[in-house]
Amino acid sequence: MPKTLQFFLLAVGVIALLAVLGEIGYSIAATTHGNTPARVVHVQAGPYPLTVNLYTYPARASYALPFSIAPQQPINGTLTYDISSLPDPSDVPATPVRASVTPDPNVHNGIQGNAEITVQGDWTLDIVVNGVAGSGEASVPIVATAPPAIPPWLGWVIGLIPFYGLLVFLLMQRGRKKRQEQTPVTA
Amino acid sequence: MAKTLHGIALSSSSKPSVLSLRAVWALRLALGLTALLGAIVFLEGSSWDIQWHSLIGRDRTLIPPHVMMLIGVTISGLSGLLTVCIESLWARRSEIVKKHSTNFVAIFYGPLGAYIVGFGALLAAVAFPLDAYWHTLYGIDVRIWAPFHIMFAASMGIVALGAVYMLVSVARLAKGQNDALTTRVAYAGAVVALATMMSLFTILLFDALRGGNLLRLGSLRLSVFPLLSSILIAFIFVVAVYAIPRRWAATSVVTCYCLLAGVMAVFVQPATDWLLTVERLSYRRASHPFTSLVALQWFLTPIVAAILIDVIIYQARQKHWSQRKLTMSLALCALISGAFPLVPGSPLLPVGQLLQVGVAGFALSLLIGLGGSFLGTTFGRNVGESLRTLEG
Repeated sequence: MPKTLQFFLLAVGVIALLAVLGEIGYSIAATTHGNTPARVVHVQAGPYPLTVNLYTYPARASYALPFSIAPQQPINGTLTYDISSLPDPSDVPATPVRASVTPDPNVHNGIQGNAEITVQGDWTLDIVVNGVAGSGEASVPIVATAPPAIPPWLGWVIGLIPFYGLLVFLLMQRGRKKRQEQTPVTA
Repeated sequence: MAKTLHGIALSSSSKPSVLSLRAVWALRLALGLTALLGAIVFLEGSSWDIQWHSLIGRDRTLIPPHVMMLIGVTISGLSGLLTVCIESLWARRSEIVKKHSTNFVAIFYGPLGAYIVGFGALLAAVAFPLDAYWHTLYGIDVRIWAPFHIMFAASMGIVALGAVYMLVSVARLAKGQNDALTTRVAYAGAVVALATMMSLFTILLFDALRGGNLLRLGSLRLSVFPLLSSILIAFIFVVAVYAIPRRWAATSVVTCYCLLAGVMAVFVQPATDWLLTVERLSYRRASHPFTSLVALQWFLTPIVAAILIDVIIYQARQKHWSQRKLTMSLALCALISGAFPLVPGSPLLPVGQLLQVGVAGFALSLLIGLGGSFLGTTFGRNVGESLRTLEG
């Protein structure tokens, strides 16, 4: 293989590796809660008035949407939550996703968690609360955005890269065999 | 005195050389098998992922099947990287390591297979976030023929090919040192690696049988399945019979191919049931299959093709067939799998295919498939022969 091609492949490999590491770092960073919510919504879930804090807004599709929920006034007993993000059925096709939640150590009966929004478009954060006063449900509409779109043809051009690589490799094996056949055998 | 010193120098330098060569093949064997393990983990994870998407729907990005696939990518990628890093360090001190490895950009030394493993794993790692991005734009679907699904699975198929190169390199080095056990283990690993590569590309073949993916040529409808299947089957089995100096090499590969599907059949549906309960999800439909959907679509005709190819190779070696006659016979055998896609879950699929494209369309599809079969045979022979002479 020519040296120039080897250096080119090395450069591409290093850039790809950095891109992957950057993406992993960005995904992890997306799950962390900031100090200031980007959007605050007050909802009534049955008998429970709640404050919903969204730490990224609009949501970024395919990344976690960090949120926290807290009762607006002290509530006796313990509240349990069941949170899901629901896609708008008339929008880009997707399936509902259950959010991961943990109790908020600073707020009694409060929780914090990450909702996953898998596709761009309109979504709803569905909140089901259960407590001593019964159960209640509330919905928070969410808009999810995606990075600029790549056209399908470009997606295919990129997606078939393994086959270009494989084809070049197979052709090089052919060339290697020919070179071996042409090399005179020395005693 | 000088003569004595010279004698000592010779014996003391030759023993470490043998030791370092043993260390080289031990490293390549361990990390080659680890790379192969990564590819197998990815394959089984893919089957689980297809089950999850089809029966439950794609929900979170990091659902357990995706995590399993990413673990496979990571294991393989680290294996390739470690092999190159360690051998590059060894090559600074040992000429024998340099002699038995492939140089890259004048800095790195390692088996060619390790570079292929690294390249494949890196491409797969890039494909995963691109796939998530594609889904954010165009929605969630269960089609396998989406750009980054193909990139993801094909990249790991390349990883399995890299494992073949690493393990055959081990077998050749060990054979040169008369280590029969290591030679056998390495060749057995290469057989499993070829089966894994075949399995990963098999997953990409499923959508070729979908009615929506037929090509239209005027009034004719053409199936691309014979073309793609024949290229794959011819390539894998011909590599096996040329690179692995054992009788029934292709049959061994197809046996492992069926075993890999067996693992899917056993583990995928119970794992899906279990996680469904743990994650409090529900099936989209009331009824669901008892086993892996992928295992139900696993192609059975390659079993026949593999046995025929082994018999033909034996006959050709006994009776000194011409290259042309051998190539034609191998290509025709590989075409069988493209012509009759027999699967456990749908025994009448070949008839359905014939009805879908009509007799004329079927005949033309087979003719194109024969071209693919020749191509696969030629590439397979080149790779098989290059494997026999590499880094030994």
